[in-house]
Amino acid sequence: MAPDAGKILFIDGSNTIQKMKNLIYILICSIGLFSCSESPVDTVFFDFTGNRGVYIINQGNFMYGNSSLSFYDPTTKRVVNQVFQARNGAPLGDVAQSMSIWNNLGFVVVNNSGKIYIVDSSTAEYKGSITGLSSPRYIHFVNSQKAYVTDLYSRKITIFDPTTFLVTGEIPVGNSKSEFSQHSTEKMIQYRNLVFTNCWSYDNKILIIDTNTDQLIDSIEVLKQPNSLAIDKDNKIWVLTDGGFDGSPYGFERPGLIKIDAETREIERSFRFALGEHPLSLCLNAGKDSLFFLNRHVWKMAASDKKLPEKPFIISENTNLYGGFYSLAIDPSNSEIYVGDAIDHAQNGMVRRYAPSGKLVDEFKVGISPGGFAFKFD
Amino acid sequence: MNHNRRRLLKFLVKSIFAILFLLLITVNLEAQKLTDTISIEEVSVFGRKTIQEAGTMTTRIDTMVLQMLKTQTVSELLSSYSPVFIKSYGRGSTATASFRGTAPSHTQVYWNGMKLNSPMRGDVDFSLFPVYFIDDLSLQHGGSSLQSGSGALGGSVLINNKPDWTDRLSIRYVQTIESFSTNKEYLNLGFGNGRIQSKTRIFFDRSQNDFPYFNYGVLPMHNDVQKNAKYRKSGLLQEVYSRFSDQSFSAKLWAYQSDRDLPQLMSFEGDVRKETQKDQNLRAILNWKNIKEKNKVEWMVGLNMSRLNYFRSSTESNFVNFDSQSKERSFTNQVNYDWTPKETLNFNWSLNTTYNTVSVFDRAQKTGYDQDQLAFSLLNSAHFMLLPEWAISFLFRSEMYDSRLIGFIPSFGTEYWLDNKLLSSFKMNLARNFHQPSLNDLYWLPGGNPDLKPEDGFSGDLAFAYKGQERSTTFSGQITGFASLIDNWIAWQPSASGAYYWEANNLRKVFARGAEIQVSGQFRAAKVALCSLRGNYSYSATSNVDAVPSVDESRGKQLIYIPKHKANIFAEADFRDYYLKINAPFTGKRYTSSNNVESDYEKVLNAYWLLNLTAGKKLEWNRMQADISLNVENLTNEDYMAILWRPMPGRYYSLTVQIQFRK
Repeated sequence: MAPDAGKILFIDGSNTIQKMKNLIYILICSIGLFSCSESPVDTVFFDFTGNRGVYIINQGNFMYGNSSLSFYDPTTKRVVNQVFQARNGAPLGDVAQSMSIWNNLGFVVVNNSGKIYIVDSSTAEYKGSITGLSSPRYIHFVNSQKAYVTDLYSRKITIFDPTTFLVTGEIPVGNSKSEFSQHSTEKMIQYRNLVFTNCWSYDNKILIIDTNTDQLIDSIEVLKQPNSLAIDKDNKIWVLTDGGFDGSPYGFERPGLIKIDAETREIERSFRFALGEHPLSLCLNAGKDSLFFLNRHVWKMAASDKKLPEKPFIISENTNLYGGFYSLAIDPSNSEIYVGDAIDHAQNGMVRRYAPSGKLVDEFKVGISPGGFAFKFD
Repeated sequence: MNHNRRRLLKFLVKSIFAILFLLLITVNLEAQKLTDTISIEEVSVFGRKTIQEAGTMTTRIDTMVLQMLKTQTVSELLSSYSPVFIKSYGRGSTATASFRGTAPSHTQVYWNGMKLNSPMRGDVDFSLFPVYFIDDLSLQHGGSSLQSGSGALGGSVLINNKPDWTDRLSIRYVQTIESFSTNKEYLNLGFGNGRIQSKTRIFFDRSQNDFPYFNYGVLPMHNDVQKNAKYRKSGLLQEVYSRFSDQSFSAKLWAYQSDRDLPQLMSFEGDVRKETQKDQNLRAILNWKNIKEKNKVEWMVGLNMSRLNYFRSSTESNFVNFDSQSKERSFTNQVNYDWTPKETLNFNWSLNTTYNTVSVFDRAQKTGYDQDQLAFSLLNSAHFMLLPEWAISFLFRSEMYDSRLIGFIPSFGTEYWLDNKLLSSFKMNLARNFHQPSLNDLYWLPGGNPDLKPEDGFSGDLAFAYKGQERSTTFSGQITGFASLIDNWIAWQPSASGAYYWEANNLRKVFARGAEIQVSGQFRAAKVALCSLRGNYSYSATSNVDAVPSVDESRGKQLIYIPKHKANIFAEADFRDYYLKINAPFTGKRYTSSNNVESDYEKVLNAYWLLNLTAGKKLEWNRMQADISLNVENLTNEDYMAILWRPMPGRYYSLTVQIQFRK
């Protein structure tokens, strides 16, 4: 065991983050010297209380178990990588998919580890876990006793209590009529008491769930493989589809952007991309009147526009080799744009932060495959 | 406690190195007794080496090692006794090779001349080769592999079977009982006379593989047991040989089956998953040879059929993620003509035709492909002694596959002996080589790329070899430096189209360079005691020199999962009927990210030494022989990871009993 094992460092407030980084560095070096120890038991304490900030969910590589969390403070422009492992001594798991912050708790969905790790969003301290899931994707909080978890494979939405971390039920979403194992569920948005979720894998549906009864009540057919959705200020639901791939048994078609009225559930408008394009990560700005998405570059259009934009809003310089940007999120408080660049998906990725005007504000290195963002406001 | 363990290990390692060093400086050049028996009627011999071997970088694994590891797989053999790095997913799991820092598909494997690499994936799973089925194993390093075939940008592994013409009737039974409910059984039956021989080998190997480990991949951390890792392997090898005057004929059949449960990562806490892999191989070779004093004609036809079923499901939700079945068939036809007009001159021509078919279909994903490939390879080679102490070899291959012609794949080798007893020499080899993309690289859905170019490599080797004997001590060693530049290296990376899936492309230019050192020494004290020591070390720096974008920090960095340093030490002491064997393989640090980030959190896999110990006794009554041995693996209970977040067993034991009857 390393002689400095169990040493406790306490760091308070954001102004000491640089100092903390140095200490982490020293710690890491000392761990390296005594790498024979059974496990690195040193704990690095964080306190992000009162700081606005962004958690970056670094997916890592499938079956490598190398996903991680980074924390970025937009005020000081400081980033701390590997916060989960530094604070808790254990890895996050295999393919972290998303993180949702609720009531000062961060719920991190670790997709291929079949679990959700819950951390204190101010300290990254491990608070508990929800295990036994199949391939969990995203979380939506309905109220203080109820949250939904979507799943790529289980053909059900799991219901849990975000206060006790106990699974309280499930909503079956199986479609026995399809030859493809439907429905996989992905992202969720809420309109009144209804949750809308998109079914991406070999599917073309938006499912509608009544949160009062936890029942699947309706569905809307869209184009092939809806990968993301968002609801604007006029209660119009926007759905982005990727159209599958060439040779897919489910089919291959032009991707689309579809506008649905949340009340009538009618499709009002549908925009189509060229065959072989791969739009993804649909987001809205703070005012919920502009749409942003990735299609190698960042694209922006007003919710009132009558056609797809012709020129990208922010250009990725690495499109020839790696397919451009990998992830996108908009700060709901100020419309700043965060873009994840996974480079070759095998090294530390890069996050770029842009002003709402598209001007680069900052860029920093994070973990492997930055795939998601979670905004912390207090 | 941990420190004491390390200290003990360091002491052991230092002692072994000290002994090796002493051997190196005390031994003088003297004639050495050749232990390999070479049948004079089959190959012409020059000096103590065949002229075909002059100037080639070849390593033969000692038959004593093959005998010692008879209950293991070739992955463990290569990992512990050769410079080849084996990337193993755990005990009993898939194991692929990295030869001189190259990719798994850059190591070609030949069984009695027939290539066994999967045409679908390009690589070979060495955990599916029991050492018990092998009589002779040698490695051809770098460009020297062109003698056997193209595509081995790292090198080739040659697995051979051969008859024992002195056998009249022999039966051998081996049983091993090992920790984690492991049971292995091997049976060998041989009979015949000087004209015809039959040899039958069968084996069973099954394990629950439920070893305990400390799980620091989850919270809270706890003592855990490896789950879903059991395996069951069995196989049959039947050989028939005959010889009449200058004709000889052989037939070999290899049938093999493996059923494995695939464990999840340490961090897995999801619902119950069932993940299995089933491999089946059926291989057959017919071989006819006509050997005259100066000519040898050989004709070989072979069939290699493989099936691989991979299945994964979530049992609770009854959801099948993957249910993939792949069938591969390869037909090989090879005609070889060897002409040795005089002792110092040899020519060889060989024409190989291979037809591969691959059919892959995943019933869950509903994707797959059916493809075939026809390939021709013509070899022209010449070996000659320019001077009594100077040999030169030159060969080139012309290849055609899928109507693509690669007209000239040359290799040039030379060996210069520093003494007239041919004990120490300098060797050099320069070669160009090509490696065809695998059918998955070309046709996998989604992401396969039918426009891939073959990988194109240049390589060079320079070696110094030395052998010596003084009285009861023998010593041999070889030091080799190598470098190769491989262009159009195929890698799977995120699609340039921005799609969510990955695509195969000729992305990299890889520079691999390094050194291999092999030493062995033997000391006999009186008639009853024998000490032997052997060690090898390899250094392989392999980096992508062609990463373009400025944000990409992978340029010039070591490729992931390829250690720069690898070594192993083996020591044996025999006294009367007792023996003690120590084997200590070392694996250097490995990076798991392409920019080689250095920190524990970023998960650099730390270097580790393992220490394995075997003690045994031989018994003999008339025609019956027995051998009983106790083996301790990972004696120091080293906690290590070969692959990120996959547990490896600590110390464990096995007991092996062998009974042999021979008439």
